[in-house]
Amino acid sequence: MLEHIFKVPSEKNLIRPPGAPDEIEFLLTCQRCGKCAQACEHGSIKIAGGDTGAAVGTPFLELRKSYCRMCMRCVAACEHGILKKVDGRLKIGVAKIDKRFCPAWNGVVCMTCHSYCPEGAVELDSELRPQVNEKCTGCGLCESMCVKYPSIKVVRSDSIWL
Amino acid sequence: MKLSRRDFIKACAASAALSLATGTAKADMNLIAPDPEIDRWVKTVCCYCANGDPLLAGIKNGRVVAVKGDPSSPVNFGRICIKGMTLPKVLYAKDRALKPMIREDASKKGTVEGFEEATWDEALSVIVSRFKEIIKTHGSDALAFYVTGQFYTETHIVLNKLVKGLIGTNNYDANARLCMASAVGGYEKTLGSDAPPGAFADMEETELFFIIGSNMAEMHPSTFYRVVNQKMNKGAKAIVVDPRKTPTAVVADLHLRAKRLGTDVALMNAMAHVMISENLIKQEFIDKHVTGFDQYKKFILGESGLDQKYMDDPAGALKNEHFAPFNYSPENVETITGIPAEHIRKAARIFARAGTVMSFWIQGLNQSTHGVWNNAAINNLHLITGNIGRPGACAFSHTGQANAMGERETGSLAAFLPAHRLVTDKKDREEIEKFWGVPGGSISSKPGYTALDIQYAALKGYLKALTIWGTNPGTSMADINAWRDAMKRMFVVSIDCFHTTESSLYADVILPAAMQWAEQTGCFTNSERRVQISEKAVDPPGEAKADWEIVLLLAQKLGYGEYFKKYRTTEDIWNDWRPMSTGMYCDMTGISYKRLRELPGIQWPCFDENHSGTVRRYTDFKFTTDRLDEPHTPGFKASLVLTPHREPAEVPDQDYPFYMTTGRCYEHYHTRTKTGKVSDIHYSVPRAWVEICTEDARRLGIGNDRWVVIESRRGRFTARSWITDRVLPGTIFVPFHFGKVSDLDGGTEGRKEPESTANLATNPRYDNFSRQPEFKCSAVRIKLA
Repeated sequence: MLEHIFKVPSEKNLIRPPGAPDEIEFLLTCQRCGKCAQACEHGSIKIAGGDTGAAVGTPFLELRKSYCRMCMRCVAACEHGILKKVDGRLKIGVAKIDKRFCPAWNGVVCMTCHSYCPEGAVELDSELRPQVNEKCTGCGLCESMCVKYPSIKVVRSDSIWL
Repeated sequence: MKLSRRDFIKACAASAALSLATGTAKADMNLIAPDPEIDRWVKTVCCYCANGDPLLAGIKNGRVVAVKGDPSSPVNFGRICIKGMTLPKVLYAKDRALKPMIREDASKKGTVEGFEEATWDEALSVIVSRFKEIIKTHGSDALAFYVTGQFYTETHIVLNKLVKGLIGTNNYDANARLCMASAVGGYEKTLGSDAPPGAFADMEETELFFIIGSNMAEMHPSTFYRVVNQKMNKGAKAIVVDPRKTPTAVVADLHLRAKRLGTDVALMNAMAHVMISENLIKQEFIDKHVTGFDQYKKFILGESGLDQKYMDDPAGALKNEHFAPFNYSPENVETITGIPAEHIRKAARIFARAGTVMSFWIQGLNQSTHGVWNNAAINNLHLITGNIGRPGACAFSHTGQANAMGERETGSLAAFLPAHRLVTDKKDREEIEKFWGVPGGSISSKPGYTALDIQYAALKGYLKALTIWGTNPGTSMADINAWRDAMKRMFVVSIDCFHTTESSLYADVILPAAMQWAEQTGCFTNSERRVQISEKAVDPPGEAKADWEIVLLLAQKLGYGEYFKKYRTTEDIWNDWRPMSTGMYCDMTGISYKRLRELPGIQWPCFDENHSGTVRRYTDFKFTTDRLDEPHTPGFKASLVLTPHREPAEVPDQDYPFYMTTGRCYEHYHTRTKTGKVSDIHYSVPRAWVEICTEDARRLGIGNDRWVVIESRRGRFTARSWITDRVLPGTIFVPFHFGKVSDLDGGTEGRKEPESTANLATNPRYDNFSRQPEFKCSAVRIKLA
């Protein structure tokens, strides 16, 4: 039911700041105050515009422009406690490789995502083609470094619009 | 089974992902336009690194719109890298130089102001009248030409003729001085002649890769692909020596990380120590084909009684005290390098016990104040283990630029003449004067100023005019502050396919050139001595002209037109060059344009039109030392060179406690005049960074992604911090790509950011023999901006 009320276009693929709850809960509870975006020193957090339906005013990460350093300043800035401190491993999304665009899957020797990944989450096969494993935290460093965007892109791992 | 909506969506997504994963990824490398839309494919060679990857340029409506690899090529089997793939975008970049420009107000040097468009005739007249005036008052040695290893061989041939043969100065140096000069010295001292003995084909035969001072995963990706393939398919091992944990080092079976930089000679001497003391050397090979082993053994084991003639160093860099007995045992060398003795032993044993070893190295060894000894030391290892002249056994010095090899062959360095001849040799000069048809005695016997000497000679007032052609020393030269001062004191002509670059900011006259790739025809020699032809695919934009045409115009204006009348196409120039190489090491007599167009390149020496080229040199173990006049190298035997360890020119101290090493990244090439114009690449890696290890960052209170000031005794620059364990404590790494104006946003100046030119801080001290500066090691201090 709620999915129909909150019609967020799925192609927008809004990645939420670290510590955000389930998408529906987030849409219901987020006060749209914009404090997290102000707190983000790296300019990763943007505010969704009118073309995002019910998500208008909510914060999302623009990882292509600036990846998430997971510094948690946004969590500290969230006065309403919507963004919560996470114990253990953070995961804000998961990187997906689009083999139609990815140079490495099309005969080019390119290992950018592999060599920049801080988590070792991008593995190479014997043909030097990348694959994302379960270590991915969705920080988006690979997406920001990728030479042939959108070969690798962070998508939401836990939402109904996967 | 009951499916909720959520499960259903999940299942759909999973099946979509599965179909993507199993779906056949198109084997085509063309990512810009689909095949059927292309009018024709033109065979070219990539103008970036010296792999010489053949590229097929797809033309549509007179524009290059696509690039793909050529799967039939024996160089790379169709694999290319992202830089080659995005070349079409460089052709149509916004800041291509389109018209000649003149700046009369010299006080505006260093800025983009004051340039006025002119015709070719006007611009050439200004250049020629200034040149003639300078020659009249100061002599022709007051002119200098600083060119590039990305020229076609043909351009080098005509420009050499003009500068060395007719203008009469040897102040003609190429940027390979910053790149390959030490390798030339190393090969000549040990094997007798320049150029790698083996070929890329050895990679499919070898049992061990010894990669030292080379980050081939990022710099030569298609070669790295073959290394990984050989590891996967035939179980080859790889030893990587690099202070950084580069993507190359990730695949290593053994990674040796020096804590103290510039100590490679000590490491390799220690490996020789292990091989000799554990008797892992090939004594039979040494007895038959190598001289100087007794002395070498004494030297490595630290015994006294070395023969004086082995200690002679023509460049005067080494003195007797450097040869004081020192035992290069792994334990002693551990204190020098910081590499555990056990690892050194292990590396030496793997090296010596492998049936075949292929070594790769590049700037990590070359860019050093003892670069020639670095090169000699690795060649020594190959000689004492007999790893040369057999399939899979090769000491392979990679080159960094598309035609760095061609430049060495055509004698485009300050002390050389075509085909590895020397300006100091009377017979060589006479031969070349005859080939060129210039009057006897035209070629000066005095070696010219090399890259770095040019800037210091200018500061002292010896040089009055400099022509910078196809290269960007404004970012790539060591000690940029001195370089900028020097440029302000000279009449500077900048000939390049781009304006603005850091170098053209200091120009008095700018001439627009065609891009080396796809806009002119010519030949490149790649690292494995393979000569390949790269065809013109499209016309250059605006009034830009091919480099060789500009040489001819300049010659005509200077009054030497008759010497160049016979050259109507680049093929005429090539045919003029072939006989010059006859009988020399780089014999290209049998390489014609016709054969190059039919074959996937030919490896020199190629003696006649029926000869298929030489894959491996020295297969008969006849080393070319017969031409050396050193007393300890009798004919046809390779020579072991004594390589004492010396510290780099600058080591960290209390004031400047960090080692700074510079290098490149996968996305960019050199000073980004090309790659900075590709939006995909530029916006992925727009600004410089400094790699600092976690421990140092914590101690200094530097967070990730902050502006950090890096300061040396010579200058300071800023870069964004990257806290990473790629580097060891006490070492920082900075890419040297990032100049102040040339990229899509107008560089750091355009973005109003602090300047990030790493070479503001690098050390201009050079190897006395090869004159190659020590980019890889300088002492710096860092702090938050």
